[in-house]
Amino acid sequence: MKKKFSYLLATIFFLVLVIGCTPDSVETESQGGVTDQAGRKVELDDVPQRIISLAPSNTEILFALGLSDRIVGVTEYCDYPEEAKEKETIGGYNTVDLEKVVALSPDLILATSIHESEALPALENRGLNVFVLNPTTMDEVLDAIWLVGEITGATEEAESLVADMGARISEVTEKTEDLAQEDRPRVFVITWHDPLMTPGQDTRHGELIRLAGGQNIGQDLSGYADVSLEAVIKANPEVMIAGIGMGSGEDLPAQFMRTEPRLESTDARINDRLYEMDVDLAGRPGPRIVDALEKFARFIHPELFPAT
Amino acid sequence: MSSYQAGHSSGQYPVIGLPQRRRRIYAIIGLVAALGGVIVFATALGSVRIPFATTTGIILDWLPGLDVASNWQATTETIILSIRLPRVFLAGIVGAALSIAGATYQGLFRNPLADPYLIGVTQGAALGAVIGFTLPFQWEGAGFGLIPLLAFTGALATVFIVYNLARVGKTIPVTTLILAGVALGALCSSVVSYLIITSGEKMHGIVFWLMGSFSLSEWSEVRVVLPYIITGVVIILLYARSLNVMQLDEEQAQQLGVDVEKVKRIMLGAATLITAAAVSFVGTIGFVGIIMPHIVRLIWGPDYRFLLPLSLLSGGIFLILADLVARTALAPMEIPVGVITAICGAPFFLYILRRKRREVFF
Amino acid sequence: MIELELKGISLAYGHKLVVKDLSFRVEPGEVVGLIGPNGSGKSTVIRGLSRVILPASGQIYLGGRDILEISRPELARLLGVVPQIAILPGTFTAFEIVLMGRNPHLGFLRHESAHDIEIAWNAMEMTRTESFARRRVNELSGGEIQRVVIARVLAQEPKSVLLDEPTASLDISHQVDILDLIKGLCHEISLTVVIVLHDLNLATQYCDRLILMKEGRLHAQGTPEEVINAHNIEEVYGAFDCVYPHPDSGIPVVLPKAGGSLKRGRKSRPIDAEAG
Repeated sequence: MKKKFSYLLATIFFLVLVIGCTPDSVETESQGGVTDQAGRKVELDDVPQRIISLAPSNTEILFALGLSDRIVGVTEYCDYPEEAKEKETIGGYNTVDLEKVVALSPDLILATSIHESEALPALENRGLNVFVLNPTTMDEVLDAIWLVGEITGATEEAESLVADMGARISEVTEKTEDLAQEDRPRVFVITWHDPLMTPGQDTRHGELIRLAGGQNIGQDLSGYADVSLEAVIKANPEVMIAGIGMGSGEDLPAQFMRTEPRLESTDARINDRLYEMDVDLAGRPGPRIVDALEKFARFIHPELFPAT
Repeated sequence: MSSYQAGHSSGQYPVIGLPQRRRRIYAIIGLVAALGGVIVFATALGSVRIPFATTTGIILDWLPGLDVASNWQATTETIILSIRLPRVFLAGIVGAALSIAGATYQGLFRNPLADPYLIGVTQGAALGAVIGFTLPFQWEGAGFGLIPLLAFTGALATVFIVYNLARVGKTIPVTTLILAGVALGALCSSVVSYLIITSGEKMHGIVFWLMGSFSLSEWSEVRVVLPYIITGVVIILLYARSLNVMQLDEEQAQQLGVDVEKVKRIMLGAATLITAAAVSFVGTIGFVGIIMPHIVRLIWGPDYRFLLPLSLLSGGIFLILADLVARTALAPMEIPVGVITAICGAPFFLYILRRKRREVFF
Repeated sequence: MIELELKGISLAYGHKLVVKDLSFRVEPGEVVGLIGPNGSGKSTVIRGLSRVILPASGQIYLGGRDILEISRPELARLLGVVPQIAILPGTFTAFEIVLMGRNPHLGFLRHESAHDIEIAWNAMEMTRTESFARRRVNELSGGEIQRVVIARVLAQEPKSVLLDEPTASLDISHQVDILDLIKGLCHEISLTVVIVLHDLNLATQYCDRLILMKEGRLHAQGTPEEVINAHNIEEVYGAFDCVYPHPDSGIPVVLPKAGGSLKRGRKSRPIDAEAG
């Protein structure tokens, strides 16, 4: 199986190389090879009819492209939209039940970078097609949606969804792009309370803050980093945002944000600029990330984006 | 020689020792058969329902020489032969390896609490594996990846250091070995913790690996692990009688002709090799190495010539069954198999604590 | 039949010299007793003889061969040792322990033969331990364990035997029994026997020759009559006026006397002060 792959891939590689690499200009045959976000060329023999998603974000993308009846397997955590909960489950986020996947005879599996080291080789060894999505920035999310459209043949739906999302993003950014530093409120997104963690500049949340016209107090950090309470107090955030609906039922970071006595002196608490948002909106790199952007914009610049 | 007995012996002796020996040999044969049965049984169960007859058919067809008319789907065969069977085999091999290594350590250290992880094997393997996880590149070669390779290296390097720290001239005092192992193990663990905390998103994968799991087992892993384990097991079984004599204190063992230091070195090396190979591919699975030898000892006695092979077999059976529970109890979610073994292990230890006289079981 | 000879042996633990320049010879067929006060180095000599510790200087010859040149398994076939305190693993049966004595005679073959079992059983009969052969060690008393260890050494069938206080835990009937056995065997099959005894009276009764040690050195050697006399006892043990001839055999007997210790700070014996 693998050898056959490499000969075909070699030919297609030539074609793609000649034609170009940016998503906007690649013209592939309807089922030619598509490069996933791990740099792998994936080629399918036919339009996939049995698709399995290994991550909630991938599931949301598939549903948004109207492919729900082609989905045969999702993870336990795929809960949006509602119909996703009715699909057959094939494991948790990090643990893929190989048997279940094989038994469902999928012709396409949408994975993420987490699966690259272990699940991916195991799946490929059994002759299954795996497509990896790994978007870290907003642009890459749009790209991911577009790629899913490519590999599943739902190119029209993908183009229109991407255009739609792009328009909504522009509505926000045209008002915030040119904001000067002093007009950008200091924002503290509280990822977790114990240990206290906040997103760094290179994360999705970091980008959301920037696009929504704010200034991330964690901008010198990298990844989802531990931060000391002192540093937060010193930075004196004007806006605090916590994710809710994490499933533990108590939403502890939100509670922390509202009740921790040592944060009393911050502008955010004094002016009651404390906001909560469904954690999955920003947490899942899928279609709803634009919802997250819009909410962030409303939280950070209520004067520019009045609540509807 | 028999001049010793001249004039002193009655010339007769009862049948002593032989019925015990026979009972133990039957036990070995019985456990081998049980192992075969458990392998088939465990392969027949999983998160996807497959009729028992189909499973047996596929397995028989797979065995060289036999041929069964195939009336099953390709996906079913893939599930049985390329997902479940390698997993069951790997679980059996690792369970056997950890048990016999545990029994060997208990014999070498003359301590009922000794287990294969005593002198830093696991912590060294964990350190190697975590380094592998945090490195930004992948590597595949000769059937295994970067992580098992680094884990194996880490395990052996750690034990090598521990051994040399503990060595006094040509002897290895047992207490010093344990202390050095604990110290170095703690050092490795702290570095592991640090790397985990700073690894961010990869944390989940690492923590899972450390807990030990047989998911996504491949035949290539079985092929790589098996030679190390077979080598180690053969060496250990050859020195089994010496291990018996070494249950006396070291002086007496020497006076009975056992080269104590040489046997210690060889068996320590073999047991470590086995443990390192097992841990490198599967993560750390606790309790198997310590419980199984005790159970075998309680049932069939302390003679290491039988204790070792019986631990081997029962360890394999135990871990296959534990893994079966791990993957079917909450299917399609998987419980880490180390959790299952701990659930079995904790009550066992409590049971032992309640038997007041330590000497009764060791 | 092999002789045991020490030439200028010094034994040390670390830097502390415990046995200094000791030389003596043991012939087959004679029971040689090693006696002396606590700390005089007796047990150390046994450990040196069995190659548990290596001599700081001097040589030990067994059957004319330097023991450092004899391989361990062969040494175990020639020399059996009954240690002073034997730790035995609790879950083995007494018989299994005795059977371990056959270890030096077994090659890489895994199991003892019927012949080995017979030898082990006979060893237990000789030491009258066969009644608890099937019992586990942790069920046995100290004295029973000691006799099991002796049985193990007998099962080993060595040409020479070293015993370090083999009767310490035994009551008197067993003491006599075991020592009779050892002395009998020694004479019958010309074993080379060195036996460390604390009890001077047992030493005089059972040993053909005695070696008296003081502070790591040889103080006196010879027959019991030659070695056990008031002068030696006083010099080595600091106890005086306690040597008498046995009423039947005439062999010296040591009876402690209340108040008869030089260690209590007296400069001279009270009897001198009394005698006029």
